Amino acid sequence: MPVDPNQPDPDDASPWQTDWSAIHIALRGDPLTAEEAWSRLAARYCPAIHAFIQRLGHTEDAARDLTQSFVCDVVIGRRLFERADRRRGRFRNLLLTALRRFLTERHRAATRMKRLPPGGRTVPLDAVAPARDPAGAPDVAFARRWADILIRSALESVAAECECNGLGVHWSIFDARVVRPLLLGERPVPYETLVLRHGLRTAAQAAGMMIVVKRRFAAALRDGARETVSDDSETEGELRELAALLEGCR
Amino acid sequence: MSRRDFLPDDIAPDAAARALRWALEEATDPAQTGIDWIVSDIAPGIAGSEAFFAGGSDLAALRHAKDVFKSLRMTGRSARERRLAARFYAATIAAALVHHGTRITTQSDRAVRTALERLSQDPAVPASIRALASDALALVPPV
Repeated sequence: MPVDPNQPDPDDASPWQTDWSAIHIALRGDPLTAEEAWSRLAARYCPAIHAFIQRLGHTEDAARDLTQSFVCDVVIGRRLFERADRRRGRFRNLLLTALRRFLTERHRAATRMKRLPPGGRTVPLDAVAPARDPAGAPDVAFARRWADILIRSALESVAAECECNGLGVHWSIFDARVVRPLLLGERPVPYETLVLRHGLRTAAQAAGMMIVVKRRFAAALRDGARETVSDDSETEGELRELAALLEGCR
Repeated sequence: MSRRDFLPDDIAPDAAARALRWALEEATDPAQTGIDWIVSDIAPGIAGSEAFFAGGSDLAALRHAKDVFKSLRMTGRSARERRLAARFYAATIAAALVHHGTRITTQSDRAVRTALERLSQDPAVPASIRALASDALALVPPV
């Protein structure tokens, strides 16, 4: 079969990316570019939506279907973000509120029609007890995924920036000293090793490079959070709230 | 290579929270945060700059910190960062003198005394580090 260069590489795409490519194709030619922008933004946060739904007790497949339905019916179909007052509230809360409402509507409709989904039974949303483990609560699952996306995007952005600006060594040192120890629990590579590996003069030079990129990473996280709030003054509150939710998982 | 190849499927909540706290700290006080990051990078097991200078760090760590602060005195992004780096540079010398009885600088007694005096009087530095500077001054010959 010939390879279509316009299609994403299936090995390189998550199920979400694949689904969203289809949605974008469906929207092609639509003059409402703002709508597309919003749908792209929603696609970015599909994993958080999915995590919330799954934590309510839905199966992986059902959660994926509901996620797709929510984004298609509510985010795009009902033009959620066009109707919402974007001058108030955070995108995360707005999305979460709409999601809760959508799931409640779905549950009521399913109950009214007394119709079971194929191969399973409906999960009564309000009957699902919150998990004892705070990390298992739907809100926290949603926040975890949200933060996960924020961090991945920030890392991607800083890595790309380093690459574009000839700061590959800076990135490598940040990776070895900060990213891998933080995310993978690896021991930081000793500075002596990094100095030899990259032909640097001193360990102090390498530490300085690490700080430069860590600052960029911190700024990229703030930029990412800023994209999801209505004004800059809310960025700090958003980061604080997310951090507190995650710290509550301990 | 994609930079995210190595990332775990699921970032642990405490790791994510730490990263978010970095973003907050750096926005609040970039200069002090840079100092704290250097200390936590050099001595990850020690909680905070004050503990680092309170005797919990070995000479190798103090020497490394001294070199990094020395560089930051020149390359810091703001006047406050450069000044703080100069103070913490002096703090490493003070800590080595007081806690290890070792002089880790080749600077003259006059230069060391001046740096320690400034450190002991700078309200931007925690009181415990100012006190450390005063203790160290007693160990440097008067000029």
